[in-house]
Amino acid sequence: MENNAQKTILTVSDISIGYHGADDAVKNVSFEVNNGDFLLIVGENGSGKSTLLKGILGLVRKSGGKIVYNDESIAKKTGYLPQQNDIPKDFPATVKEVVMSGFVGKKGVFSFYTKRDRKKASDILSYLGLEKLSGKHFSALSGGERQRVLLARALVSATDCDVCTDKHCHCHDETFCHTSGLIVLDEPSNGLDPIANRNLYKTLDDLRRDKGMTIIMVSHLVDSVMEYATKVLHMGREMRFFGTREEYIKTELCGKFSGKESESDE
Amino acid sequence: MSEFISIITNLPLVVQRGMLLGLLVSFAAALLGVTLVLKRFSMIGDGLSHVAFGAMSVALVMGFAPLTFAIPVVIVAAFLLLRISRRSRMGGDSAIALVSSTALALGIASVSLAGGVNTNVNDYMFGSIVAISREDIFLCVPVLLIVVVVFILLYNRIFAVTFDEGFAKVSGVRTEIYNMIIALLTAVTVVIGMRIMGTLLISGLVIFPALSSMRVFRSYKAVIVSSVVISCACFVAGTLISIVLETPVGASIVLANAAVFVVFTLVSKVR
Repeated sequence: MENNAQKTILTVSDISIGYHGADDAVKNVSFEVNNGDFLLIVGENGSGKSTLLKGILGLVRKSGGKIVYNDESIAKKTGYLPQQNDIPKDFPATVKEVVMSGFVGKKGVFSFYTKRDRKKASDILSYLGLEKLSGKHFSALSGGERQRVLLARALVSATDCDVCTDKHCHCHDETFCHTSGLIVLDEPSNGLDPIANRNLYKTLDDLRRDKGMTIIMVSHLVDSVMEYATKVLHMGREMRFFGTREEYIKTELCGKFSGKESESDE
Repeated sequence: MSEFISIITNLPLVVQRGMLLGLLVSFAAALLGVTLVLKRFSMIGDGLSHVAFGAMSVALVMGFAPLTFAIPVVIVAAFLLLRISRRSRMGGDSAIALVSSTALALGIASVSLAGGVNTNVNDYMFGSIVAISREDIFLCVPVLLIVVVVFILLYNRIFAVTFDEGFAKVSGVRTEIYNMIIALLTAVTVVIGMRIMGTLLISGLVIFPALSSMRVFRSYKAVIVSSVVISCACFVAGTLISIVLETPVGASIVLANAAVFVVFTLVSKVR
């Protein structure tokens, strides 16, 4: 999967985003995401990295610039994993109900889930080692388990043979179609212990390498996740760096930012 | 069971009519109540009942048919309340309190100008099981059936939008439309329901069953089903109590709901 020809799936050109007439939280940012990339968006608190992500996803309105999905199927194969504090803690829902809601954008307005949908959700839960949690109350799970359940929901949304644009698609993989989907994660490591974090990053890396997924992730922690990233975008309202991981770790910016992170960890 | 059925069938026709409508209102209110509680929109239900009171009082004074006048007014108010609860700079709950007290004041002022509180206005305040006319049934039963059917058909989308609006939006669901549908269905249910429950108590019918169910049940589907069962059972129990003890029907139904809430809270503590 990793050797698939690299093609640009998302182009962001000169994008700016402002809230209620205030100064732009994101200013003139441009970058490209290729099929199979693991793009890590880093920056200090208030640097506009989550706002940029929400702008790309259409959750906040941009004040300028362009966002183009070069592959029409990618927009339909995007799975989003929001910050955990965006989800109410006391919500009555089972793991299965949460994961099945990943199908919601793929179904007609008045439609119900099919047997095939249930099988796919159950296959994805098994892939992530969550099959035993299926009937559990979502709010009763640990932070790490909740994060993996939300990842399962994002995967349900990001994998779909029905919207595959490859006319010769015969992969017959009803769980993960051979063409890559896009998983977008906003600070997934918030509130997780280091082991849960590592497990999550490892799973994302497996999804990229084995299943051809493209990953965009916002994080204020760089050291623990850097080894998995292929590209880095460093935000400070404006774009301060965009390039490969290898290029980034050689920069003074990376050294200073990692240093600050280590200091704040101590 | 047969004794219970014979009690119901021996009730005067006007009470049976009220019970039929009340059961449908309880069903619809329970379905919507879960979403309103989870989306922190509970105050919208309360605000709408005050707007409905204002609209019905104005309709009475002006000589319009109360329901046909109030339903569109409350639908407009529902969209307005939804908007200000999400975007207002003064804070959603303060903005709703502002709109609802103004509507209530408008209602009271127009009634006062027209000669003071009469039976109709009293019924709007505290509810009545015998205030439902034949015409009301022909208008309200189909409308409430539409509310229930729309909710069931949109069940999966309503769950997704209630649980995580951001994710639903990214998945291509037009979340604003679903919020508006919930506001619309709530507006219709509140206007019709306040004839039986009264302005001051209709929000209890919307919120209590959901809150009781959430104490005990852990899945969304179980909470929805339990809310419907509690709501309908409390409606029947409250109505029969009000007939036997001659207490106001709305108050009796809310007290029955409050008792269930206490029991469910105790059950959740024991578990």
